[in-house]
Amino acid sequence: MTDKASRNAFAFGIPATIAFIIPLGLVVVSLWALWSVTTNDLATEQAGGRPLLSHLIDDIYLRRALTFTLTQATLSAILSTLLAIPLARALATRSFPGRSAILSFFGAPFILPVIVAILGLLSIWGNKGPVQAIMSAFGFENFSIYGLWGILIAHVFFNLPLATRILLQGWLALPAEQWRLASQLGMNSASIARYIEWPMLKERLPGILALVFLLCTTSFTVILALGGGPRATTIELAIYQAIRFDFDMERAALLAFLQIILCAGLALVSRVASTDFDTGQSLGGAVLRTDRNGRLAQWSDGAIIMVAVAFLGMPLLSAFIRGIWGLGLHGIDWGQILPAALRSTGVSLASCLVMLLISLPLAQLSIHIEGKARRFVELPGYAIMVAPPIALGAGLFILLHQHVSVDDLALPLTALLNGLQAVPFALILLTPAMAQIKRNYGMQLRHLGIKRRDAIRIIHWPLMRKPLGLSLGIAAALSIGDLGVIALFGSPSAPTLPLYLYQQLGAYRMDQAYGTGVLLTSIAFAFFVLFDKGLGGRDQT
Amino acid sequence: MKALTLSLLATSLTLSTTLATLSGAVAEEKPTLTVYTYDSFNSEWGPGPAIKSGFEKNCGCTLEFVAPGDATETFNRLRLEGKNSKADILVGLDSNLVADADKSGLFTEADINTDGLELPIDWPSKTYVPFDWGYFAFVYDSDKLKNVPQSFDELINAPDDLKILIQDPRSSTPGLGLLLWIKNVYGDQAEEIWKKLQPRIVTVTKGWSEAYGMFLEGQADMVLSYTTSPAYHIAAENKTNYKAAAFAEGHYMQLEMAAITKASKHRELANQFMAYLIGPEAQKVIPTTNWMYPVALPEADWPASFADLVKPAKARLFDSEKVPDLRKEALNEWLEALSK
Repeated sequence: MTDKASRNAFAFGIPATIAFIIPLGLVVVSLWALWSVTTNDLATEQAGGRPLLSHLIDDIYLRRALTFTLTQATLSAILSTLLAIPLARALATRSFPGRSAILSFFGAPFILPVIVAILGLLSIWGNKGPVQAIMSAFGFENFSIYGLWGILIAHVFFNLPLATRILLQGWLALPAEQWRLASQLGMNSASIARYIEWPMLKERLPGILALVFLLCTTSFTVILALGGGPRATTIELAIYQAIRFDFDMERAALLAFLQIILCAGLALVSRVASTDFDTGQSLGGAVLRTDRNGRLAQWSDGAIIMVAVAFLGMPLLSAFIRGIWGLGLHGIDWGQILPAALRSTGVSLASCLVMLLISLPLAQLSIHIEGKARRFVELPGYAIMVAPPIALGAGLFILLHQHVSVDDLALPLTALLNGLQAVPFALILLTPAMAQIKRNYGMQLRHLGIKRRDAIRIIHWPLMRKPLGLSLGIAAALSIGDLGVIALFGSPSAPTLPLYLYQQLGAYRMDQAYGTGVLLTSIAFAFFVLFDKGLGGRDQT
Repeated sequence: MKALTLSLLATSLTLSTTLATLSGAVAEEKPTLTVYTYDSFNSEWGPGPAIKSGFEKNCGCTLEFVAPGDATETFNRLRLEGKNSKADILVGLDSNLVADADKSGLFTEADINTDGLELPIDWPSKTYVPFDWGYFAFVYDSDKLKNVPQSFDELINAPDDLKILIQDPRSSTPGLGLLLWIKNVYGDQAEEIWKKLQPRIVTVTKGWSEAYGMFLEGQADMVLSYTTSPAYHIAAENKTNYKAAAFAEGHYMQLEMAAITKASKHRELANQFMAYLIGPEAQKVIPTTNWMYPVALPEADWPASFADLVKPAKARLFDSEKVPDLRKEALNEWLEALSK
């Protein structure tokens, strides 16, 4: 028995070791490739009598990119979080028909292809959109969606729902006793805010700020579409420009290296900033608040929710309508769309496979390891978060492009990196499910001596299909809509669907771009639903 | 639910097999000549389609255009692919990138006769063969803009609400053209000029198509394009309100080249294509599709819409060997001025 068990453990150990090594190995290898190019460059610079540091500081553009990266990420994080506070409070306080629909809708930006969301934002906030018309009616002529403002709007669009959902959890996790007590004591809003809400916010805000900040630091598609001029370039985009515009591999390597160091630092800070809090079991009901029964409070909460829904919903609605109209006007160019959609599908399925091959063994490994060593198992997940795909892609590309044709490299590299990107999300979903199986059935499995195949069929599959389906759905949707590595290296004659859309945008064929956007979104959501509901099954819990 | 799962797996299998067959099915009997070019060259209204059908009539081959983006991006894509590239020819290399192209060592001499070319300057290269040329200029709508700047000076001192659209010099050849134009006119003061221009710039687009599209939608008063752009509106749309502003300082020139890659496996076909590109058939197509001056077409045969175009007082162009250094310097000034 012990013999067999240890043999099993060993057999499990091989995929786990591989899954552990691959992400770390890729990061290390690409870092090494980047470093070797950069040191070459710096060595020649130093030969010219200029030390490394002054080289970096002297580079106006690099300095500017670094400042802009941090500025926009800070502003995006603060805006998203601050706006999320009243919104989450309003959603926690009020119960009304459609509330749960709104909450599910808040999950949509997560799987929506970024480039499609940008199309939507352009149609609302762009130079010919309604917001612009209102602004110019009031004499504000200078507003432009291109540049910092547009980037902030887009980042708030993506991160406000996220921040709101996390904060809402916080409100709902407050014990009902506290509310009852507050109402008995007749506490007014100010003291409720001070004694009940603030302690909860104080605990959660740093984590949310750090998370949004990190997401915005590595944001690529938004900056690619709305920024890019010399005034609005982040490091992530500067890597892209160094390769695409200047064909300067040394510069790309230097920037990628800088980006990885920056993200590693940020991840460290955010790990320190966010404390693990016990979310508890929320009943999902509205919070009982006698202090906010007044008409004014009701109206202001209603207004806040309506404005938020409009802010998030209008761009989507508009992109959808313009897309349908565009499709009606120009039809679907099957000769272009179909191969592009198939390429995207292939990349997406391959990235799902990568995600599974890495995250399943890692999740398995993490439940077998006890105590402090578990942190160690989290390492590959962190490595992926820390090395942004563009930087990682640039490193792998520099390593491989002398030997393999770029055309052959683009799609597999995209699939690999998309798959890796999905690993951290998958681990969050898969690890607790695995741990639960071990906790609830581990003993029985061992005592009854159930064969592995039967155990998988009877126990693992029914319990794992839900989180598996969800993580596959997320991986597939993210990969279908991805415009990162593929924008950098994708073959222009063989684009994926998001790249094709971006080409149409670049050629200013807006109607066609909106049409492609509708198709892209439909495919992404179809995949999500197919995996989440098809594989995951309906309401197993 | 099981059925759904099964169908999901079946679909994914079918899709991936289709994908594999699609990529496998490209082998065909006729040779394919692959030409990399910039996006607007191969758009439905550009010269691409006419040149493709015209050339395919006699070559017994398939001509495939690949357009990775604007001209600079296209050239960089080729550099990225290096010796593995499937490109036989690059069409649309800017005269300002010739030194870089030489350094890349990717191109080889074309075996064609270039004696008949008529250019405003001498161009002896056999590797980089010009197929059209033009002058950069700001284009405006004369129905909307009344006080048209007649020089850079006037543009800088124009009323505050005069807005312009330009392209990024790192990705787009008109953008690079303006960068060198200003450098050529102002030399060391170029950075000052950019700082003064900066408040007027609505946005810096990656490519020409995007900027021109935005201009036509009315998002700015002037757009950086060519003196020949109004000819398009005259010929294709019968609109005479679009005009190019003639600047007193003179206009920077652009020659667009084609070059054969060393990696080309269809050298004979490639030479044939180069000859076709500067031959009468393609040259007749180019003015009314690419909206540039032809290199080998008697002026009498130029389209009527080219008759009233602005004739620059002075043609400006840097020596192509000097461009890389100047470009680097000017680019830093540009970045410095515009990132403020």
